[in-house]
Amino acid sequence: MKANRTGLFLYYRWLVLLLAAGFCLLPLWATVIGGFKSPGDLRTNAFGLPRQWLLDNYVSIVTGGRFWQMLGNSAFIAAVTVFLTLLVSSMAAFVLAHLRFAGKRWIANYLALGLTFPFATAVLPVFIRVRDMGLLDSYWGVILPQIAFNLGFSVVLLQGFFAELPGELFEAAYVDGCSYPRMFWQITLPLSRPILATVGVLSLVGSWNEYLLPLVMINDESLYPWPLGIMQYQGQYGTDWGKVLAFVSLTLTPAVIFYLMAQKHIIAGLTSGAVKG
Amino acid sequence: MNSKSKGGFLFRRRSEINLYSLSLEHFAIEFLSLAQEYSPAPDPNSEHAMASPLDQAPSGSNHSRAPGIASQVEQQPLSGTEESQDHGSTGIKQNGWRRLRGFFGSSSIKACLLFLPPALLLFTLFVTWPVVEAAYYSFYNWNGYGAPSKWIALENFVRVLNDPIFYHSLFNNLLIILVSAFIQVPLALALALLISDKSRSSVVFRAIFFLPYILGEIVAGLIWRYMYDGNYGVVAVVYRWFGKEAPEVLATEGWATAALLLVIVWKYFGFHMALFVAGRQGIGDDVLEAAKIDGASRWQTTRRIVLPLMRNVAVLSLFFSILGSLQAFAIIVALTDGGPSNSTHSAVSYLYNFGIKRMRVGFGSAIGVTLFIICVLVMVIYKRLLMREKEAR
Repeated sequence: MKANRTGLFLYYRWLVLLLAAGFCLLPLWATVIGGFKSPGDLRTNAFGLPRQWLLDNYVSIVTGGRFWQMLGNSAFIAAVTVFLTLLVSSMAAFVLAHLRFAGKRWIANYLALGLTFPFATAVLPVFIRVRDMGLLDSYWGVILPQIAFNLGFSVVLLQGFFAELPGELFEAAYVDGCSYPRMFWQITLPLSRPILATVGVLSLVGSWNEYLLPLVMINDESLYPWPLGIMQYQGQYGTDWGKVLAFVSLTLTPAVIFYLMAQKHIIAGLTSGAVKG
Repeated sequence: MNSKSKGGFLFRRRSEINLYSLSLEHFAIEFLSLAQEYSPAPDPNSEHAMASPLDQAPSGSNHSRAPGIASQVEQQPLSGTEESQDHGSTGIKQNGWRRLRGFFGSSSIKACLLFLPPALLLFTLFVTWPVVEAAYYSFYNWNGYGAPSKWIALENFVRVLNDPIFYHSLFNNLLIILVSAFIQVPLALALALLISDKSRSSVVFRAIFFLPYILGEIVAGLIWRYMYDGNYGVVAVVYRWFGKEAPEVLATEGWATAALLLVIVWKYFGFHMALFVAGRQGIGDDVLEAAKIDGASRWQTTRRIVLPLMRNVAVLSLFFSILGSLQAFAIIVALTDGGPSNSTHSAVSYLYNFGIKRMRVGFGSAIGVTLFIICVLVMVIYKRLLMREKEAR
């Protein structure tokens, strides 16, 4: 009887899991497959394979320059944001974790303030600041505020990790006359790859998907990152869903490929980052 | 990575690295002795004394004892360390060595001056100062050009707080939180318990459930806009199976909100699931083993051991729901753009639509400030509750 119950449990387990997986994947499937369909086909046959595989939607997007430009813009913004976030926040975290000085706790708490409110609350003054700095319609108008808003969580995460590094290493380095910047480059950073990866993934995903900031800061279409571009495309083609779905599918491809390649690290990074943030 | 090492640095706490406190102690002693010599009233608070009068330290040391060594030290701060350590026995050298330590202390100050400013500058310039500015602008009627001159006191706030759309937006935020608390988080927890083991199928399911979370909000919104489309979408197809014409879900008040909530569950439950999986894997096998030996059934183990141990994760998970709800924006823009008749706005999309889009800087800032106050209050209250739970345990 016990075996029977376990069998029943397993049966239900699979049923529930498959249902949930279907719920997750069905919209994605319908989207990707929808890009290959003609409007008539889309209307009557949302789930199934297309009756006739239509490549036009995808081909016209891939061969047009706009799509690649958007992805390029996003990639550049994300790359610079991740790099500078890591650099700036690890430098600050190093000092906060390893040195003792007056006002240290105050500074740490000050930076942690960034965790308590959403960026949107201050977006208008940030816009005016960026405008007055002459950075509107430039990558930097998006990158700099993004880094600033990443600092809260990244400094907290990095500082926690840095403080755990074995003190003997620093003692040895100190006795050998190693300077602080060198300790930072040659001891702290190489030992902190896991947490740097975590912070990197968090800021990469955040920057890649960011919508509000570029929406406010960028008017020039040639600088649009993909979330802006895709909304513009959608506005242009409205309910010509075949085209829009193809565009959506293509923009989610890089994210999905990246996810499949580094899935374990990404899940760990996003959740452990969250746990500590 | 992981749950293990992670749990490690989550819960283990180490005190400061000894070395630095050592060198800084020396610096403090050094400085204090100098201060006694030179100032009539020495600062009793050594920690405070360490950092503030930095510039005095080297010049002061020049005047006091063994000026030659002090200046030498300043010229070659680090290469000399070993040497003087070797000769540390003689009196003057001993003194010099201590001075070196002291100097090292000030080199740590140099490190601070090199490493901290970029972060502090960026943070102040783009995070904290704008909040202060928002508070300032919120008292003006200003379109963003020239200097704000039309002081209207609290009128912006009055307008925000009398706007029914604003309350409706906040209500939507609350709905998101409630759905998250009563549907999303329990669903995520249940699924996490089913797939927290290390079997292959569990790994695959975890990957699938997490997938929507990494997609951009814009993408999620657009995909579901298509799904809900009354003419082309999947909903339409399903309705046609039953021989009916589909309603325009996103154009009907009430339904549009429900549709939005479903999308949010779809996109974010995987994230909460991953939190719970990490929490579940953090529970030691010994506890579960013990329960098994005592003859506890699967249900009993789950109910009496696993769930109570995961309570903190649930608290955290809900915390992120609240945070996410307060930030919800792009997903709404892509799905409904706040429509129909402004019934699906969240606080942030309300701010965007009525403040930023129309460049009403004063009004937008007033919304921002209100939102800021709400956020801080919610966070503080929630953290208080969370802390209390921790203490009680």
